[in-house]
Amino acid sequence: MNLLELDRVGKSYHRGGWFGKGERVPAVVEVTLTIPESSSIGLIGRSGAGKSTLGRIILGLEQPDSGTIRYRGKKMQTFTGGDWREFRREVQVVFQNALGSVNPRWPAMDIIAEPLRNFDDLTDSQLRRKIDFLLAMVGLEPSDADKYPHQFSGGQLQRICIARALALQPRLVILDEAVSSLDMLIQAQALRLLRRLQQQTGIAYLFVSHDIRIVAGFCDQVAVMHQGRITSTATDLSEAKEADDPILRQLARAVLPAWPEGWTHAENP
Amino acid sequence: MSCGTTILTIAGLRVSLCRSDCPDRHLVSDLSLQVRRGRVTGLIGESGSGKSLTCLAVMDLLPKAMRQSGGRIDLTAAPGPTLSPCGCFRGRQAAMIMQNPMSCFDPIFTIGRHITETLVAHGLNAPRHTQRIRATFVELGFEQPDEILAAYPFQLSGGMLQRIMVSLALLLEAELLIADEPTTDLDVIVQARILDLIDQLRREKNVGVLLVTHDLGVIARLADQVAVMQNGRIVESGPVRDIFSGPSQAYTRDLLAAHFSLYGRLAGEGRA
Repeated sequence: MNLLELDRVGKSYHRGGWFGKGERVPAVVEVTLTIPESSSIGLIGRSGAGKSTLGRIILGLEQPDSGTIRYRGKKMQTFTGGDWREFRREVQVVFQNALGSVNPRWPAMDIIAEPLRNFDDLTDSQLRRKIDFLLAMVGLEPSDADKYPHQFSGGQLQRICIARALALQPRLVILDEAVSSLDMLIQAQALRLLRRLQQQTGIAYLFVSHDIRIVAGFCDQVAVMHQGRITSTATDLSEAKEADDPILRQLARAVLPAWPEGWTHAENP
Repeated sequence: MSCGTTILTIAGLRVSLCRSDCPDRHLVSDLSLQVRRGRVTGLIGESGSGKSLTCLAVMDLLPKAMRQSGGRIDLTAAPGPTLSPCGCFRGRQAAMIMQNPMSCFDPIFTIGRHITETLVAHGLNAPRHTQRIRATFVELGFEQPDEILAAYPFQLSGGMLQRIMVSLALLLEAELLIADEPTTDLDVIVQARILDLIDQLRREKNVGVLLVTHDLGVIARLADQVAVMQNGRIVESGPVRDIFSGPSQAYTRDLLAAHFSLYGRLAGEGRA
């Protein structure tokens, strides 16, 4: 069954003018996309293509102007309070800017515990055990639980955000450039973690990124966005450099070489 | 000056915290490297390994809580104004591109004001250089230089601001360009463009580049020499190809393995 179905979703913003007189700038135009259960869907495009806006629409943070969104077969526009509560529990997000998505006055423990306190009725010791488990899962120490956001590096903070998103065992996680700012070792570690969790619990990911290299290795299917539209979808990116879609071709060709020019080392590392 | 002359020599650099309660805590220790004109020296390593501190030490811009507690940094530039005692005008010979272009510009001044301010600080008469500023902007791919000069930083994209920082290096005729994660926050197409630009500077203006990044793809694209940093020390250094084909340290091998597992799949076809 499809977890999420978007049917011709559109969204535009006002720019300038008062009382709605300014021009309308389309951010998302007639986007149709399905996310099956336990799949990884990639969403790539240049900055300003509308990727993040689409992510926010799916989260219900923005109201679409047109089109319908169905979550597990149910129309999002007709959600009741209870539906939203369930939706909020099952759909989580990790944003690019980790520092901006945590409360600077809370220690890591409270940051991770917040969704658990909201949705689960746990005793203090259960909560503590769960937090230690989540911290260990993302490669942090139990002693890190008492530290505040400014005491962490960007990569550590991003992993705390990932731990928070995974705390409630969601069915869909939207990763909005979640690993772009991490260094390579941590990036590889975070991706391995996400992949392993998917195998264990069957989470679906919507992976928003401008870096085709990561998406190519991580996602089953990739949608390319440009100026608010999905211009093409692909399952295999190995031929992307010769793709019909000019945007995909451009993105693929801008990829940096993995090896120095003229490097002829026969052995595969 | 011919290609290959050493422009920057760092010998035994040590950066420590100023706090007296932990005198043995060095953030960068025994770091030595060289940058030559027309060449790119890469500095890689995980976050927190001291890459950026090294750059700041070269520019004499270390935060107040830290100090250079040992070693030498020699900028052997063409004969010109000697360094003032505070070293604050090193910027004439060395220019720096930072990671987050948005936070490097003052949001209440236009780009033109920023450029003028920098030129004046380096003893250049800005009005006389208006034509050159325009020409430089055109060279960097801005088709409407006057519009850019009149714009405020928030009206421009990250890639545009990054190019403006490069333009300052060009205007000051800096001989050393320090690029600290120049493309980390940019989209791939803009990234390719900025890297092409740095490459062009290196070839045409014979600028020496110290390139700090955690992306081995950037190193593979640009660098000639590379030094791998971990915990404030250089664990391995050498020509890029040697490091890629035969890393001697376990840490470098880990980095390369992470790099290939993340990116190898797609870029693999380009391999000879």
